[in-house]
Amino acid sequence: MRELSKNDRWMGLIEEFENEDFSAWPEAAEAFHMRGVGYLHLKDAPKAERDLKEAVERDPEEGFFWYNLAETCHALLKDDARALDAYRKAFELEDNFGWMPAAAAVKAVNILLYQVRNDEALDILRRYRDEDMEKLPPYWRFHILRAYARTYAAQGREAEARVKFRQALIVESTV
Amino acid sequence: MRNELIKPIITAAVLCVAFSGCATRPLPLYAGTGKVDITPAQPVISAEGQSFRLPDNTPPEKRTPLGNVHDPLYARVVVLKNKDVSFAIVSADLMLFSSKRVIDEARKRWSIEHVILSATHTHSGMVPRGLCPTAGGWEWRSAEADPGELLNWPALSEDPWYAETEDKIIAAIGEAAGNLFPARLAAGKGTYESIYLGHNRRLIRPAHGVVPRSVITLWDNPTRMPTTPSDPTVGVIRIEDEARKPRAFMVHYACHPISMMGSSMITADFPGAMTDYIERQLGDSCMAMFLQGAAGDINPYETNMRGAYGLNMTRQAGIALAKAALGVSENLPSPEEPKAVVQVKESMLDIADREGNKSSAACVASVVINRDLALVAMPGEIFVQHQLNLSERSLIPNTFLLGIAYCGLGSPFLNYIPTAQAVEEGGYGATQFSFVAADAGDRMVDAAVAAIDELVGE
Repeated sequence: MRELSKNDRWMGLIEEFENEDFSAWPEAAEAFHMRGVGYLHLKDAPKAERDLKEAVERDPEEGFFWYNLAETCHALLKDDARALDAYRKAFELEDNFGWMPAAAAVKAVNILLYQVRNDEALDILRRYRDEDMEKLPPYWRFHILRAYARTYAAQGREAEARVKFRQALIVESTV
Repeated sequence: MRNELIKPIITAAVLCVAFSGCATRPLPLYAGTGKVDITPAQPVISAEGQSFRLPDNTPPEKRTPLGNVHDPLYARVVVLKNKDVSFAIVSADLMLFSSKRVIDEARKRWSIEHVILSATHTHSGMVPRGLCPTAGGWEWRSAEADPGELLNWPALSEDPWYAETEDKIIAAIGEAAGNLFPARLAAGKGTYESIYLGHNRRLIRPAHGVVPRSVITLWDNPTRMPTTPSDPTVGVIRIEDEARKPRAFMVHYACHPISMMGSSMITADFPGAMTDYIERQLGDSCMAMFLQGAAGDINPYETNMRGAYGLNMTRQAGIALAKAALGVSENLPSPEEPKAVVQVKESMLDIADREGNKSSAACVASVVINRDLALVAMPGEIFVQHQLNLSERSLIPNTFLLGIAYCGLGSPFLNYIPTAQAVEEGGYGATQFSFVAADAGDRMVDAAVAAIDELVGE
């Protein structure tokens, strides 16, 4: 199952494990998560939600489970309120500079900006201080800088937004 | 057969000239302002968000709901008058507005010799029925004669909203002309690099290997990549009364107000937010006004936005522009005396179409005040390079080109006026929805420069 998941063979994974009851598996949460991600890729919203909810209930401390539940809520279920909660959870649980919390931050910021909750958006981004930016992979550094810029722009802080947009452009040229 | 019907192309540079304001010594200057709400009671525009006025019998499900009026649309008027010249400029929160009747009535009823009707060009406003060549009313290429002559002006007034808007604007000009005060006029400009507005929406991709040079038009630029040509200039005209209190504050800037385009929302877009902020800052007795520049190829960085996010970003864009304009104003000294030399010249050009088999009359109106400020009105969506060229060639330090502006003569709207280079490159605004000869913009700028030279006696 891990091999199929690692190689993005989602159709094959679903075909093989569609009717599997993972409850008795020693790593049941991970299994539900992998199958949920498979359904997410195949855009089967109810089954993706069912499995990913099961995964986070069994292991609520695993940020990636929350992240993929958030993706399901956002992309498939169009439920931004639940997506935002799940992105926040994923972001909080993975307290590092890896790609997942950065992606969760960018997506949460996006939802918050669309709801004009600009101060909350900025709060999320505070993890990424100027001196820590180099810790991020360039691709995500670009997106975090852009999220900062858009948040400042939405707050009417034009000068600060301009600085961030320019920094993002510089990073983009290296990505 | 068809060719026989088409009149020969007239290539004369300038066909006729209207001129006023011979005095070269400053005369007491008077100004007045008027502002009127032109928001339609029945916003009959497409529910899909297109700004074109639909017929009154359009079924409700196809109309913008009444609740979609986010902020009111206004027409704003400034009248300037001295012993020699009277002149009114109108800025309407609409995608397009031209009206012979308004200009004729202003002349007849209020003795205003020259009127410039300009639109802010908000795409969340409206295009009067029958006025936009691309909206099914009339169309340059299929027209058998000069579209300016073929336009059925009385038919436009069959739309009750349009007729009512005309009446309101005529009254607003009357209000301005009837409440004149001794005026001090100051003009200036500054560089303003907006993070919200003002990128060139034509992305030219150079040839790469076997892939030829190409153009991507209507390009969004969310990362705010620098683009050229663009004109990061904000122009300011401040009119004060005898007590040096600001009574009118005009902001010139070039950018399409299309932040909320297609949202089926009625809004004045960033120009509305800009004027609203300035009026709050300077007080109720000061009327703010947006003067649209040569925005033919200039867009906000984010367009077609939706919902609360879009409305917030639009508001921030307007406020930021307002702050930049107020910053320019801070450095403008108040003139010593409420006097001015005001000169106006209306230059008629005969503009050939792209195929060269018919032509349309176009008026370029140039207003020069105190050899310090020039307003040049052109009836079309002018590409920004023409504004840059005009500013560079003009003898007047503050020369502001007004696009989407009609002075009562010739064609009310010539669609896009690209550069010859853009025509070569192609794309929207250059080879689509642009029908004039490739040199039309250059000729209009030439006419304006010649008019300004003549007015200042060079």
